Amino acid sequence: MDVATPTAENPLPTFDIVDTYRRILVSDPNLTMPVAAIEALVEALAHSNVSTIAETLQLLERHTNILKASTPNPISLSAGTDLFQRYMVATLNRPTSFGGLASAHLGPSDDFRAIRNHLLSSGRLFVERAKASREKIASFGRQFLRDGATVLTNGGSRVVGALLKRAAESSSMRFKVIYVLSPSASSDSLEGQQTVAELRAHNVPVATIPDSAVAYSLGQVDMVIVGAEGVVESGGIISRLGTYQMGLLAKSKGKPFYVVAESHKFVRLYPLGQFDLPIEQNVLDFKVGDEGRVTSDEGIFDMNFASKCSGMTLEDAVDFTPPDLISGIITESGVLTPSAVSEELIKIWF
Amino acid sequence: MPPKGKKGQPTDKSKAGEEEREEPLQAVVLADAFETRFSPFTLERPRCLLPLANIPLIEYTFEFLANAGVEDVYVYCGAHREQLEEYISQSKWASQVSSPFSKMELIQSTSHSIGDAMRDLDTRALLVGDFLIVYGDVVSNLPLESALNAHRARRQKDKNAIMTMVLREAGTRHRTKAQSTNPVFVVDPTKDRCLHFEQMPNKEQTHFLSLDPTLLSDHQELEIRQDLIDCGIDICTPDVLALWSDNFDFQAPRKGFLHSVLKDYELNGKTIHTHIVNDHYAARVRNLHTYDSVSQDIVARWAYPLCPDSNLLRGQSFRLQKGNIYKEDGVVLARDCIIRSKTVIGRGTSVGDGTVISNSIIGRHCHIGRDVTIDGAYIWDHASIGDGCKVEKAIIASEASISRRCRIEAGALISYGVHVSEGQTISGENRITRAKRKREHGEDLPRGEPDPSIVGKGGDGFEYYDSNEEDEDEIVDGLISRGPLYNLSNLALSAESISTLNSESEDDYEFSHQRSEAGSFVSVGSVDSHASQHAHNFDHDAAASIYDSLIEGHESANIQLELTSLRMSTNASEHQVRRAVVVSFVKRIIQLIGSGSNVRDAVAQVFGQHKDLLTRTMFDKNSASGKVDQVDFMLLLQADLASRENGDLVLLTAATKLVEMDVIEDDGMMEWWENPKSKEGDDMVKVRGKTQQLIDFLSQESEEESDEDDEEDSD
Amino acid sequence: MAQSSGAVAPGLSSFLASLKTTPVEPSIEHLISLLKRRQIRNSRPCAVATTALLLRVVGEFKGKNSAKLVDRIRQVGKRLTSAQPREVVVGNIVRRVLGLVREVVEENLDVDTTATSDVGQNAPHSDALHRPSLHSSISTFSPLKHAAAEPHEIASFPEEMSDSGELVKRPPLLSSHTSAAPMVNSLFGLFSQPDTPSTSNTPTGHQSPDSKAMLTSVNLERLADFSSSKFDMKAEVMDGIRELQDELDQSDDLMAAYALDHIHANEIVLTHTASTSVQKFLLAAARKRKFTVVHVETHPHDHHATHSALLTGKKRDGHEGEDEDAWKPLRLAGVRVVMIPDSHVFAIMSQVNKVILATHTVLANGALVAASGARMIASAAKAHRTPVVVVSGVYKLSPVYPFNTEELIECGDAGTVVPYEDGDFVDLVDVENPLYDYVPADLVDLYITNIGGHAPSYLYRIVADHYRTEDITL
Repeated sequence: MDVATPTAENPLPTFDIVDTYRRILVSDPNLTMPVAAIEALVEALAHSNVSTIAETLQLLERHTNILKASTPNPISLSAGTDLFQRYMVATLNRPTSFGGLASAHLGPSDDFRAIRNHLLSSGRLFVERAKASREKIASFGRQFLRDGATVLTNGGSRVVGALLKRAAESSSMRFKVIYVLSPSASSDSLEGQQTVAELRAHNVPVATIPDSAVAYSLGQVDMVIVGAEGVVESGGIISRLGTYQMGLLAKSKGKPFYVVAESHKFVRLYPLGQFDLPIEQNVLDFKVGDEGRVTSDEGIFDMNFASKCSGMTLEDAVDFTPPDLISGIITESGVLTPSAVSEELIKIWF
Repeated sequence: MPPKGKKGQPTDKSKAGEEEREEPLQAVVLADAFETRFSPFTLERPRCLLPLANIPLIEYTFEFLANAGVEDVYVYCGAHREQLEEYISQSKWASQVSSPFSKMELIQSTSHSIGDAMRDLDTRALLVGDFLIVYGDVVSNLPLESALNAHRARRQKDKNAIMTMVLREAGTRHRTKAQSTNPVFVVDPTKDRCLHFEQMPNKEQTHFLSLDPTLLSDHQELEIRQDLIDCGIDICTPDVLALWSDNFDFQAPRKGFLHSVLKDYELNGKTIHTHIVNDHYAARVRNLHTYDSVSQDIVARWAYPLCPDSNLLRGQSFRLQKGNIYKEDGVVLARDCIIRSKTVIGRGTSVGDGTVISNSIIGRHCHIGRDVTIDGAYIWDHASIGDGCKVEKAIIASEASISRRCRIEAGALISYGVHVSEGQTISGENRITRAKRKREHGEDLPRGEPDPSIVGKGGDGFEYYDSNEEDEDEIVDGLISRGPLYNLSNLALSAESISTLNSESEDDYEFSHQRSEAGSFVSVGSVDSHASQHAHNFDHDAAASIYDSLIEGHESANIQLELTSLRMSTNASEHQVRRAVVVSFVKRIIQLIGSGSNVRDAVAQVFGQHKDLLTRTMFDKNSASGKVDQVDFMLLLQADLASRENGDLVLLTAATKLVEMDVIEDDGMMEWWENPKSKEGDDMVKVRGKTQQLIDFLSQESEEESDEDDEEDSD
Repeated sequence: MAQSSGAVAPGLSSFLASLKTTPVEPSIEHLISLLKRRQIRNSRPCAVATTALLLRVVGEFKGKNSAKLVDRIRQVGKRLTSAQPREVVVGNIVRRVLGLVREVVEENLDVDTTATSDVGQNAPHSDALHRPSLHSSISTFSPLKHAAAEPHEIASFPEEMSDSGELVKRPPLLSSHTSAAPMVNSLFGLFSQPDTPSTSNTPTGHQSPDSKAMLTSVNLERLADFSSSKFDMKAEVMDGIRELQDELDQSDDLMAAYALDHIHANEIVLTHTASTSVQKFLLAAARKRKFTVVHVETHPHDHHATHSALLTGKKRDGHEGEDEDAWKPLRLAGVRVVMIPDSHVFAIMSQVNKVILATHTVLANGALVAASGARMIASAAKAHRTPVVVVSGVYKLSPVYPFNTEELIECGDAGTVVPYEDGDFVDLVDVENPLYDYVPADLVDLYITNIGGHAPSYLYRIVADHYRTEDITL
């Protein structure tokens, strides 16, 4: 719809969206992919000299695609980009909502510029808010954990970490944490280790266990808290590999299973199962004892990506946890039942 | 007075149409029960402000009254009035906005006993209609309307149904029942009428209950019940007060008032009724033992909704957790301390590592160190307990501090601000305080010298000794009850204490009962409280019966007989017999004098007829050494007359008469005269003034004798 | 007086009566103490009392500034809820009333906009009323948080949330807001909207909660002045509250209207407690159909009421005597009634076609708090695949999220389990008497409220329709 009037001759500026994106991510360790993506797009907007709505939208479209293509797992990223895009469409169309897009060109340009200025000027603001929302979620920790509770969590979700830390700071709270850490040295598990260290520094007893010990230790657990890369329409979540099984086990043991995620992680997807995710992961690569083929296979596998950012190796793989396993999704603005998520998304898309 | 309407006219209007607005329901709260059951704590605070499950006792009482829909409340305060006043003025009960009561009045009276309070109340004539009398330590969630209705219904029928006692059924054994004494009610279940009341000592197992045979004949059904918790909730009519002031010798509401009123039902024709409930909760925190058990009841939610987590006080925020653990917000628990079940912990209290707390109630802002073991203890606000201490079933009052590695054994009482230094062991008998005696108005209370042997070096506080034996009884009713062996020793103590003349007794109403009785008995000789229940019963009965027979002019032999039987049944002491005799005789004499006959005749008539009765009361006739009994008799006589008008004259004539009759020998008389007790107190001195002549006469007479002897010797 | 004070223990009826005569503040205190003493208990009486009180509060309210009114109500609500946190209904009613006020205000703002076009941007779109945002419609605060105990990072919450209600609408309308605090509760929360035509020239730095507050208060001021001329906010609000009262009265009958859809001929229905709602529900069905009711007596705390309900249809249930109108007992309605002890539930469940539960509170996550024994019944039903239907008025539906289910459950008088007379027992054995059960959502198949039947998972929607997000946390 947005690309109703293609203006092909618009030269792609020297600006490289992917680098910006990476730079932003690196520059601020505790920044989520969606927000980074949004920032990157804003900068792209800044570098471009588009003047009409159509151009803008188109530009965004293009950059978004590049970005998505560049990362192995664009799910959470796309949450950001889509949100931004929808937002642009919404706001840009507003003054002339009756006219539809045909009249989009002759939309009051001052209005357009105003919006653009706002976006450019308040780029940092987005980040602030993103972090603020995390803090807000963390502040729920106090209600959330009960005295003497034992929490099972996994992955390197910053939100979960923040929540636990906040809870630890309120001295009246006495709780234990069982942290599922994969022995691998993936970025994710590194963050996990960092969180563990911080918690222990706060004098919270933490036990780290491998994925394989989840079922074993579940007997001791009062509640499960996990982070998510993306929350999909069905209310299910896409999160690091192993979350799904935790969900299953928690359900079977009747332990509450909470998801902690900022609401800008809601992504418009409706996966039906594990293998329905719009990304390829070679979690299951069936091999036969023939080195050659395998390596070449690997080669091809690598070639699929624009660059060797991070191959979807086992460490970074994700799985899909269906909504029926989730007791509640904790966002910065409250606890949602999974079924409420779709309504959220519907509100911005239609 | 805003809250008035609440339970008031509106409901009247809404229902039962426009019957005329009757007077509001009033209540009298006896904030001070004139006892030392809670010493040493009561030295510094009024008992009704002692915290029970972190809420001052009186709060429960007010809750109860509010519950019952009371509108006017009169609080009788004894000691520490200003503290109580201050507290109430700040509590929600005083403020017009929040108080359910339309009137809240503090009454300060000089009364030393409930009896005095009642009479005082009668003179003030505040109470117009039916009213409640409760103690300042009642804990109850009992809705009263049924009792009230029953009472009123009875009133409609019979104006003489003056009082209804609300009693809670409880098994034969119950922790919340009073231990030292157990009341026995004889009830006619058909009319819910209480026919007889007796306070049974359950120490020595010899239970005796003398019932008026007419009771048995008059009533088809009789219940003799011992399984009732008497929580001192009475619904009364103004007549009750009148009755109190008629018989100014009533002191205790049950032993005195109830017992007697029931006894001479024929005289006054007043009936007293019982309302026995077998649901809801009702108890009185009458002593440390019940303090303990009521606390337990509250924590175990027997008194629901009077539980810590209903946060009766403003600003409380207790929350219930599994296993009856109540915690307020802002409790700081170390990571590995263990809070066991049935525990209450107030705001701002911090508990150290490795500490184990169970069955205990801990106030606000207490500091509990590491590796402390606390079981069944009561720790009030701002107390601090050092590392490694071990506290058993004890009470540690506010601001008290226990240093490290102390051991507080079960039953110990540690009063305000006491400091126990490191490594001490406080045994169960210890009652440690810093206050020498009750704080008078204004003046800051005198501090005693710290006693290192108890609180250790650098400690502050000393063992609290109470002058009267009442406490011996008290320990039995202390936090933990002692074995029977101990009781016996008490008896021994109290037995020998009987003959000692005891004046410092204002705290225990037994004593005040003895002493401050305007007319009849002066408190020569004191008795341990439960023994004195006999004492009182005996005194009353004996005196009454003798008096009657004097009027009727019975044979002294018969009187003698009656007397002894009475004495046997209540195993009263010789002393009491004498007292009874003296009292009744004097009464008679005075009466005669009142009726015109002159003193000499009166005395002659009364004493003359009953020589042998008198002699039978004294057994040291020919014992050469000391005439104890005679002296005692005279003392009684003197003391009794001390308060009568022209008692001195009577005393003189009586004494002379006695000497004439040779009931009292000269030596006896002299001995009495020399006896210091006969000189103490100016009225005592005053009354014996006239008798001087007799003494002179006697003395010179004896001198003459001696002279003669000399002469004889000389020649 | 003597009569009345004797006959009427302080309770709902005496409270309502006194409300006419006594000023507001004492009445509030009065209700608080009644709640604390449990002299008013159970959902309906609490609801009735609260509405009556709030009606009074609004009535007494001086001045026309609606912001102040909101604060006033909220502050009263806080006191009430902290007095007896387990009576969640009190909080519900307060929130409903708050919602009412806002609605009234906003409607009149719309009037305002049409009247004076320049402030058009400030008028929240009416969508805001009818579609409050969902995600924040479940409170993040445990129902048991006493006002005092709230962490203060959350204290700043209401302002922030207060945007959401108005912000929630389709994107095209977003910018009709002059103001947006950071962290508004929409997916668009990240991008705030300082640059609408009306305020596009203002620097972007001005988005802060207080600016928002300032602006709304401006609205309200304007509202205030012109309202003095045009409309009477108080009157409208009070009408609203009266409607609420009607809802309370009617909800039982409305629910009963659905009875025939759920109870069929010759069915065996199992229920417990002497709940008026359920009794009426069954009666409604009984008019047309013959069926059997298996009644669980819910010993110990409700069995007396239950017994008498079965026998006479009148639960002489303490204080709510008058307003609890007697209904014809089921047995007279030609229903075969079987009474069983709680312990028999599982055994008999295999023969039961349907379980109908009464409830104390329904929570937004689809779980419910009901008289103890409910969970046992529900799980037994689950085990036998027997459908469980919960009958509950909407007023019992609470937006609070049960973080700590244990704290929702009140422990009652142990004396009803074991007689207090039994001295030894009291001394040696611990007795517990929980009054309520927490029944998780997955044990319930259907909720029947006065507005129809809903699946547990759908309740969040009802919550969203009835409560304003900004009011969730009192």
